[in-house]
Amino acid sequence: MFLELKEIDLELEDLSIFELLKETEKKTGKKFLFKLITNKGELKPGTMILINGRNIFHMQKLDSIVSDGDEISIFPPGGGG
Amino acid sequence: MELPEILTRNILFYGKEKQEIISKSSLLIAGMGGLGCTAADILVRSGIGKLVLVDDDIVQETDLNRQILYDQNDIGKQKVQVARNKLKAISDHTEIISLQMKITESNLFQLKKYRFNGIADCLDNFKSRFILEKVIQKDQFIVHGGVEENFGQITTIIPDKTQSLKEIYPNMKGKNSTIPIIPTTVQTIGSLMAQEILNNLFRKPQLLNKMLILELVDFSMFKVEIGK
Repeated sequence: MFLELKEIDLELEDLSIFELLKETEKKTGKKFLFKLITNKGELKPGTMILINGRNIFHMQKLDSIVSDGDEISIFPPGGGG
Repeated sequence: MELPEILTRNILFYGKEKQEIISKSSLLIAGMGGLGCTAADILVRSGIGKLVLVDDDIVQETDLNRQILYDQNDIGKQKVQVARNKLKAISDHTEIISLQMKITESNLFQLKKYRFNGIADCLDNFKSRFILEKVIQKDQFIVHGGVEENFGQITTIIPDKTQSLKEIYPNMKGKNSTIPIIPTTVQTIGSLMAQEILNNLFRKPQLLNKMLILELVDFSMFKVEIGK
């Protein structure tokens, strides 16, 4: 939704999710990190970033390592009913 | 088990055995807003045995864009009472209990008085959802739905088989005062929730450890693995 893209494939060495997202910004030319991360470099409330189905909030947050073949999902959950 | 004529077409598709499963089942619907109205309407038309409707709110004019059980004559009335009357007008087959209450830690015990196979999480904020999920037992399920603008998501929660909602959403913000939302999003997600509730009643949930994400902007729908 941020990128207006369903999927993007990147070929990179192991790196943190934060670095991966920065690379994605570069590759797509679309600034979206400000929607996910505060000026202090912390995850904004409501941010959903999953690595292989696990929320990075339960891992090393933005320092969580992404390896070849990992699947990253980013989406804003609807809060209303 | 004698089944009413309203279920004739359903039985032609499901068969009598599955229809009886639905008709012997009970469900608690937490939140009788947009999702709750749509899910309840479909479940009554599907012949569910019992619904327990929970909400503390009254009908307001701003609800009428998406909450299909209410109309202008209902403004100012308790949602659970209006919903009960509208649902009973569709079919007497379903027993309907209405509970005018807010879901809080201190009154959660009131929900435990009722027997139900599962819960439809149709609430409008994450704080209440995290309280609600404390009610479920090992043999019960929650079908969670959430909507905003023109997107939404659904998943099934079962203790010991899936992550809890609190684990899936560890970093949520408080209630947004007014969430932008359109009727098509609510009706679509509410309908899909009702289908996943039936799937659970048949013990064949399709969204176990998966989250269905719907984006109406381009009609895209995809399942994200959310791991146990």
